[in-house]
Amino acid sequence: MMSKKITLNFKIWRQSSPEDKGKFKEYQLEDVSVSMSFLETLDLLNEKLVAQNEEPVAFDHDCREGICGMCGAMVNGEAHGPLKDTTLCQLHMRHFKDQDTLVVEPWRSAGMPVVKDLVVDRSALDRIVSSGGYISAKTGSAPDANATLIDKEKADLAMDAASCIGCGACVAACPNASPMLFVGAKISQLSLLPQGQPESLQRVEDMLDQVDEENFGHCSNTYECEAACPKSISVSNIARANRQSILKSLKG
Amino acid sequence: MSFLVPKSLIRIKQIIAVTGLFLIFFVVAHLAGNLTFFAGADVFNGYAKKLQNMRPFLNFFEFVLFLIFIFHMYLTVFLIIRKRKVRPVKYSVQKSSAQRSFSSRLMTLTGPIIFIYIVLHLLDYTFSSHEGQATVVNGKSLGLYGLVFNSFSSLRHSLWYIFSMVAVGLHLDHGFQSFFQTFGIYSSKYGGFLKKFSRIFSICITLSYVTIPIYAYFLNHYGNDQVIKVGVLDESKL
Ligand code: HEM
Ligand code: FES
Repeated sequence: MMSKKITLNFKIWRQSSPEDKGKFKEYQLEDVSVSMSFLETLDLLNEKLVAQNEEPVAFDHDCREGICGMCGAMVNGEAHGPLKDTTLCQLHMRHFKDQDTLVVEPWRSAGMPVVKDLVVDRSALDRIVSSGGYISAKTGSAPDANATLIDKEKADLAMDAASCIGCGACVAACPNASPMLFVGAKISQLSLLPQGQPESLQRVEDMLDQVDEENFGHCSNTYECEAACPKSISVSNIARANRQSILKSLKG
Repeated sequence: MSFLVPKSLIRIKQIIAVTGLFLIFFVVAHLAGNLTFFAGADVFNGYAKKLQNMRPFLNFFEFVLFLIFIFHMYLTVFLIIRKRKVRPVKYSVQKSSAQRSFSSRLMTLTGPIIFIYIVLHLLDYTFSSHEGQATVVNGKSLGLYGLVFNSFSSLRHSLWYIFSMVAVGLHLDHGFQSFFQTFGIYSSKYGGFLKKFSRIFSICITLSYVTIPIYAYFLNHYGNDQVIKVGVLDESKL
């Protein structure tokens, strides 16, 4: 069966390098199958651009199945586009109408500067993880499955936190460009489990110090991050990080 | 004096949140005092007198409150400066996916409005004479009660007080629930409840405060002479 085809108008941010000031360029793309994903649509546009001897639009991607966290851009002012709980690669064009205009911008924050077009440098998020998002206990070989008993509820919360793919949508959507949802998830996935508990307070301090280093902003509890997160990570993870930070300052 | 230049964003947030919580306590206590206005001049002036009699202790309390205010405002300046730095290029289109509350967008506006209000409020009633012409109601000086009463004969003055109390309510609508989150008192289970609680609390605060200018305004313009002292509206004139 042939799927429906639509025509879309794009306004895409073009920036040739980190130093370039960048500007929007408009494109019209015909024959967009509504079964295509957003990234496939960009592929189609790029084929056209290459054929016209124009520079293709640079964008990050890898798995294209919503699990790696590489893709992401603002579409009409929303991180990963208008569909809830979805990465850009899993956003399909059936959610748009014929002749829609789509404004596509990169994540904008000083902590994740634009490399080219829609590609941003997210290594700051990696540095936050390396500052404390690990456990230093030697874990040896795989333990027996039931050797350490963990509450089902806690295990579920830890798994929910661990579903963060580090895409940076929380920073992008936050009015203060704060990565606290990311940080909260990385802290929670460890501190909820017995293996992560011994270092939990020091971890919070170290990771939050790194946030300050990285030119990110503060959290003002607007919860834009939670709404933008393709993995629906809850802001209760930020509360957990906040709680531990308070404990840390009380205990010194 | 290293605490004057806090290095960490999270510490700044925490101090804004505790100072905010103390300010909330103050707002509630102050409201309780204000509501004695309804009991008439004797009770209201008596309450003011009692406060004044606690002087050395009251001075200390006022000083602490002053410091709390200063810190709360001073630290938000850091956040505002940081906020400008961390997103140097603005989005050309930005939509709120979370249906951000009106009040959370207005924090940096309602805050300064409250500040201006407090300065003028202190000039109106605290740093002004509680005797003389301005306190006279129907030929009799009613002290602080009279001063407050007369001031609300002006529609402009009354509306400004009402406007400011709406600003306080909006600030608290976001601020109170934000305090809980900043102190880690939030979970998916009761987060919704905290937001509702915060909203109902702020609405109650605003509504309770504005009863005074509204009541005093109407009493000024539709009140009956003898009942002003006991603070009862003359229904026959309404
Ligand atoms: C009646 C007086 C006030 C009360 C009860 C109050 C209360 C609060 C509370 C509870 C918070 C939330 C703290 C948190 O984020 O966890 C807050 C935040 C804030 N307050 Fe106030 N406040 C008052 C006056 C002021 C004044 C006079 C200003 C500024 C001149 C101000 C500016 C701010 C700002 C900008 C924030 C938001 C900080 C952010 O971005 O997260 N407030 N306030
Ligand atoms: S490309 Fe992997 S999550 Fe989108």
